[in-house]
Amino acid sequence: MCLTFEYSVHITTHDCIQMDKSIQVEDLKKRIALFDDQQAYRELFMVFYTSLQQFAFSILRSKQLAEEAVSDVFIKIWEKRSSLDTIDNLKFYLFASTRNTSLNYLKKQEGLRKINADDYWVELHSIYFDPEQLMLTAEMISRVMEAINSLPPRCKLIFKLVKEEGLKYREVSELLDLSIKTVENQMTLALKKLGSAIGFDIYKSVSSTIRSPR
Amino acid sequence: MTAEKIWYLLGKKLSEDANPEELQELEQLMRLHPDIQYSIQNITDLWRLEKPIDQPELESALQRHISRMKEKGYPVQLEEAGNGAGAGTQSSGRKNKRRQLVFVLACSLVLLIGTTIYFTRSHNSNFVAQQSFKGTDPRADMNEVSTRMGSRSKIVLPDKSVVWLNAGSKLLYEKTFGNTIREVELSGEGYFDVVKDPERPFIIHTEKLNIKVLGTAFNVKSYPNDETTETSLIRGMIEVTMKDRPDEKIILRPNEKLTVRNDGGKSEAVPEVNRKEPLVAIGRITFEPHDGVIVETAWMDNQLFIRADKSFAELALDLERKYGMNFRFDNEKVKQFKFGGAGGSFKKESIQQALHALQLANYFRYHIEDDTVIIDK
Repeated sequence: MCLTFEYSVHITTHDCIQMDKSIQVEDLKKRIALFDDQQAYRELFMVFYTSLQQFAFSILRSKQLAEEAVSDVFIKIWEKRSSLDTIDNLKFYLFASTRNTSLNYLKKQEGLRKINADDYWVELHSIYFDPEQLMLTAEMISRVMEAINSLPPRCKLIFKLVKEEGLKYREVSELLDLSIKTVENQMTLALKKLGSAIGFDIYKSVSSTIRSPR
Repeated sequence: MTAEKIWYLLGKKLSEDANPEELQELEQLMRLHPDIQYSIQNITDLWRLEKPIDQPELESALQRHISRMKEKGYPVQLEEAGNGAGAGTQSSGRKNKRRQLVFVLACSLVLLIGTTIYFTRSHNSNFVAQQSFKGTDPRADMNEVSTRMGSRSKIVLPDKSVVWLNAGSKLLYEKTFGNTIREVELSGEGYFDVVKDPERPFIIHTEKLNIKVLGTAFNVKSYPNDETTETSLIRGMIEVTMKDRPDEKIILRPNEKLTVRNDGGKSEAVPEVNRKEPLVAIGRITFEPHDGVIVETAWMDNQLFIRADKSFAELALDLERKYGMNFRFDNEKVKQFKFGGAGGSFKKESIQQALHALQLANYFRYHIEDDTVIIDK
């Protein structure tokens, strides 16, 4: 139960993962660009495939097409690997390419049609809750899920891109062709709904252990 | 209206889009709306969760992608080097197993190295934490974890709550910890990150205080030879009672610090007005102005901040813990020296470098004999 440690910094797992990830991606990018490193290419695929496939799915609504679109994006990455180093923000580049490729697929299928952010369809079960880690009751989780489910599609998509894919507001606004203001408003709405879904239960679940401050 | 602003600012904070002014404003608003605190904490926890990855599906997607590339004529190897062709679910299953094996081996190796370091250290230095099970003691049902001077330790309790123990500290808990109630005894300094469990409250007993916790992170500094006991709340909510006034409950909110004078009971005769510090005070956690490091928990990173309000005598206690040295003052005046608080701190500095830096701020003379720093002028 006891571990010795001499040098420790208190960093949350999230920070660690986020930090590791961007360093890892930078490293992979260099290995692919400079050494045609196929192992690095595979790793890059593993890092982004799930996120990109889900994003493509929100546009194409077909698992198979979404997979093909992402595969096309990665083929392009391999083709232009020697200039990969010039891409500053590879993650955003991958999302933007996935959007473009998916919209092209859609055009071929349905003829010329502009898709707007309201048409994106987000798969919800990918927004993940671990009740044990969160200490939320089953009842509260179903309420949280309900709150997220009841968000308008565009709001849901923005929430997912920010929360799960770690995109910045500015990146989301570029990706979905929305103003920053809209992204801010939609995030505010999503958090407010989530907050009231969780907050509803507070005194019920807390009163047994802690006396109310008032 | 302000509640709306909280969600707006929280979103920016979580997506790391917020600037320092916005973070500060959020903090202020949260203090005005403690009722939203719980929701915000849960959303923040929720935010930290990574989404699950379907590893087998991911690997087969990679194989499909590589096959597709091959079909299109790109010279990419189908399998990793040495694995040959013939990618199928079976082989990827085998690969998974192999990976698991490698992982297990790697873990054992880490464990082995860790244990080796542990034992090597415990033989030749005092940089070690000890967990002893006192067999002869009347408290045989207690686990005790203690750290020597100059060392720190991390303990994971049976309920997965984590305690970082600073130097010269002791944590006691029953072997049946967590069966019904979660109780620990602390002497010294610890940072607690407590797993939420409304059914089983977490209670920390110190010499002066009892601290009752929901699910939260905070620092307790309660060394027997210090002048004060400090409780600093980082997030969540805690309820503190003083042992000699069990009916008065103090609720701490994030970023608040409770300071209780340790001589409170004994010097009751001294009139309140004559005291330089109040018996009990709720203040704010101190953020280091340059990079926002929390001064109260910097010890976890082996960093010691020079605080403007602390005398050399008080600082010496912290230095003793950090460096595992003793301090002896042969001059009463120097004991009361203060060194300003311009965010100065020691981390990797040697004891000589640290003392030299202090001399520059306020000169004193010292020499070192064995493990004792003697200050004579």
